[in-house]
Amino acid sequence: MAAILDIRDLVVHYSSDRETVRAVNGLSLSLERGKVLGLVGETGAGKTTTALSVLDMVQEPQGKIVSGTILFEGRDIRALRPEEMREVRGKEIAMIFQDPMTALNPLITVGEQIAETVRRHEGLPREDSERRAGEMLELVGIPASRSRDYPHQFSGGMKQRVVIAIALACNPKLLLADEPTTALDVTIQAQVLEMMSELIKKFGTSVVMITHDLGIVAENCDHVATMYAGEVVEYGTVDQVFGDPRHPYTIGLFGSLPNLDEESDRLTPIPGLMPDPTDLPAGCFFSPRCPRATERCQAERPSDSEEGGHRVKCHLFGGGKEEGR
Amino acid sequence: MLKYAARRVLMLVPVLLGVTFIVFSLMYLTPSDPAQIVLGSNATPAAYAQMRADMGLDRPFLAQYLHFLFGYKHPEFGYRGLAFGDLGRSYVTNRIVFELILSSFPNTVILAIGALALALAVGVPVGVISATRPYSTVDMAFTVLALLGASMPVFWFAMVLIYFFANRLGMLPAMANPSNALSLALPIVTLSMNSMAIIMRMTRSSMLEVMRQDYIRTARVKGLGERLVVRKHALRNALIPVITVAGLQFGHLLGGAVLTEKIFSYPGIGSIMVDAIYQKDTPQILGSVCFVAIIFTLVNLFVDIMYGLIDPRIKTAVQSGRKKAPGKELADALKRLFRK
Amino acid sequence: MRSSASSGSKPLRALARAGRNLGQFWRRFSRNKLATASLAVVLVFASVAALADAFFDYGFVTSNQLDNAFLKPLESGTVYEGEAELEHRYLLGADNYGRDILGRIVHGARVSMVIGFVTVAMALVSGGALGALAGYKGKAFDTIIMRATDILLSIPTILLSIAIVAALGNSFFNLLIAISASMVPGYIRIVRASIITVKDQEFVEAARCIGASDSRIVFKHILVNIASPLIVQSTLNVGSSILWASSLSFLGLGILPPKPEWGNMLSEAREFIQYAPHTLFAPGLAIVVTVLAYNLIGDGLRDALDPKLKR
Ligand SMILES: Nc1ncnc2c1ncn2[C@@H]1O[C@H](COP(=O)(O)OP(=O)(O)O)[C@@H](O)[C@H]1O
Ligand SMILES: [Mg+2]
Repeated sequence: MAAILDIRDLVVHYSSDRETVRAVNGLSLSLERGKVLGLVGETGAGKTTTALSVLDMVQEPQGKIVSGTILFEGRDIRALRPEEMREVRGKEIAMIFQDPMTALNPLITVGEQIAETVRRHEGLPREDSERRAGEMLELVGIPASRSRDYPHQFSGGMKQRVVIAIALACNPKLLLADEPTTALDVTIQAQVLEMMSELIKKFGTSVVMITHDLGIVAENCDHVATMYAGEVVEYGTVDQVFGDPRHPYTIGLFGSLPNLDEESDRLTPIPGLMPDPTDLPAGCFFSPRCPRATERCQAERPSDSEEGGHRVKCHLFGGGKEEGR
Repeated sequence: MLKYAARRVLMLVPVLLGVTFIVFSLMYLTPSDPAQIVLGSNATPAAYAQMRADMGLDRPFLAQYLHFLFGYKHPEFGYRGLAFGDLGRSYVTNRIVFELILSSFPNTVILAIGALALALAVGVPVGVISATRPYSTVDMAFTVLALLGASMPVFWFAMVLIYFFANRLGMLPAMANPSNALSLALPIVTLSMNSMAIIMRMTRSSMLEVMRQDYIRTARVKGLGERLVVRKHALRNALIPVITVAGLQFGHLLGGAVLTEKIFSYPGIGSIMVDAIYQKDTPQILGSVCFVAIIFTLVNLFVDIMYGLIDPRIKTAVQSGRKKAPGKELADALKRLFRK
Repeated sequence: MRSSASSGSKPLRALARAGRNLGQFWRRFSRNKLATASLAVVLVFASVAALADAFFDYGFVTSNQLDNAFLKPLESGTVYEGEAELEHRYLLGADNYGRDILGRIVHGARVSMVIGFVTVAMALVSGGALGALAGYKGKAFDTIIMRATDILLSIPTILLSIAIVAALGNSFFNLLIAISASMVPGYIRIVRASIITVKDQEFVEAARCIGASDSRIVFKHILVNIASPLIVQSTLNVGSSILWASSLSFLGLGILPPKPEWGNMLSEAREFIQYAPHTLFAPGLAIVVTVLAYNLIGDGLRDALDPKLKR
């Protein structure tokens, strides 16, 4: 089955005249059509940067995709001209940002903020686009009559619903949801998430779900990728990764979770800190914090080893076969 | 918001009292002697003393201040006071103080409107261009130009313009007059220079700030073109502080056109004030300075109220759920304001 | 013994840190070419102004030489020294009284620098003190001071200055007062706002908890934090003060001829724009270059002192 999104060896840097932040370092990922991929990792792991790269929206002038390929439905995103890329944004790939409080333009009515996407991509006349905006609002559980209200008249949860409505307004094939519920109250998180998963199922949208929350992954995702310092260190189906976590970092993430079915199983910190992305260690990036690190881990970067689609980037796995590569 | 506006209007009272008090005190300290001005230099001491008494100048300071505010009774030198818009006649020209002010003020307003319009017409687009290419050569050039505009003495700029456009090229008149539109060109350019620089810088920094916001990223993720992002999503937000600054600039232009008006011999309120100061014409000075300060304060208040009406975040507080056209909203607010 | 040793090393360490900070600050500032160039301009102007008497005799630049009136730049004229007739070349020409324009600009520079620095110092001290009082004591102090500031700000600056000079009389000192009065409200606002934001921050709370006295808190913590905006504002203000002084002198309210001052030179030049434009350009450019330099330095300082700014 063809992947809708296939990222290979992506490298993204943010450089100022003083330093270079190596945000993403040779990341590879793929997502099958109609599936939901959970992307988990600590703050600063490069999750947002990865998502922005897919839309070719890494913030200029500091941010730059240094190398790698990003294939969306087999098309190389990086080879698209800017105007072609703008056709893709919002229509084929949509993105939801973390903070709904700042994601909406305070001076434009929410209806218009939805309608303008529709007008842009489907060329509908104003009235039709406004009607569509109302429908989208209803879909996310907001009365259409509120489309003439301004963002400040909505609560945080409602704003995120509006953001979701904007993202899904043109029925995109791929949705990048960057911690869509992190900024919301715990009580509202579940509602918004449930509404979102229903819509995703209904529309058959493929999703990259970026999150801190392993519970969300367990409930909503088909595949999981664990990210650490700009790399995917473990990738597999939810069953594979949750049932048999292999990378010491993933194991660390699960470390304090006695039971997957239990609620509120958030990430618990692993001793130590993420390495400074301007000064990454030699060898495996996780080695300074790894309880099972060897001399080799400190000297040599591990490569991927795979078994039945379960991919791990660690010297503990794969053995000699991997070394030969 | 209305409550806020009402409170601001109430706060105006002590501010205006303070302004008049400061101006009055400064004039009281002035070494000039109105009685002497009226009588000329060869009056007898007795006539001089009589004149001082007639004019109320022998009264204590505070009494004189109260006269100034609420009137002074005398068949020849009496007036109804600042509170009633009457300060009597100028000692020098013998014209009614407020008549002169009211006849010259519209001329100043013409200049100020022209200058502000020019400043906005140039400053906003240039600020936007600068902000969309920060730290580029174009941006640097505009930055230096704006600083140059802010560093140039108005009177010198005016004289350089006069030299080139009036003396050398003979294109434009060196003296300005409200009845000759062409003659307004140079004073308007002169006067707008400073505001233009300020509006340009303000637009630039406000745009840069807005372009960093998340909602701009949202707009780009929708696939909107960069021009639409700038015009529809960024500019509106960026203009809110610019409009405030422009309003404040308008206040300054109304009161601060002194140098420009003087150089172009333009019959505005700035010229009146400077002439009055040279001639030590106390009622005329008091009247015009207080008038300008009051206008200035009112303009600032108006800017504040406008600010609330432009920004829906504040506007909603006024509407409290009901929907009204912004124009009607403003009209209502003003109506209620003036009923108080 | 031990305590003296540690107290001996403490200032040393502080000094080393200050040196490091200064070095870092200079690196950031000097990256801004315009600001660095402006600093050079200001330093050159300041040295020339300080040595004005060595270059041009004050008596010479203030006395009339009507024979030489309106000499063009580089044209030579005759100067009488006692019995002797000397030929003299004027680099920038001579004004309507035949006085050397360059010499007057150089002596005018001295006046401008003095006015710039003295007025800013006066405004900084008085405005800073009032702002600190308002921000730190709050309550009645705050209300009174801020109302007074509002009142001052509702009189257009130039009018206030004109009125003050008119009221107090035309003297150098009164000019200083008039100009600094227009800058005081700005300082009050900056200091008050910074103090109010800094006051509640954790490190001040912490200092209070360990029992630092009120005045120590004000001076040590708050002053360190409001230093940057004050430095920037003051640099910009030196520029505007020079501008104001020339404007008031132009109106005949500041320094009057024959004393050389850039504004009054232009005031005299005004009548002769048509015949002798050279009397107009040089003094004006002197003002523009000086004020622009202070503005650029101020901008450079703002960027170099802002810890958040990377560029
Ligand atoms: N605009 C930027 N400029 C410089 N560094 C950035 C920028 N955006 C992100 N970074 C850095 O890149 C790294 C990855 O950030 P991000 O992709 O936001 O991670 P995550 O979303 O996983 O928290 C972090 O170290 C972050 O500080
Ligand atoms: Mg993130």
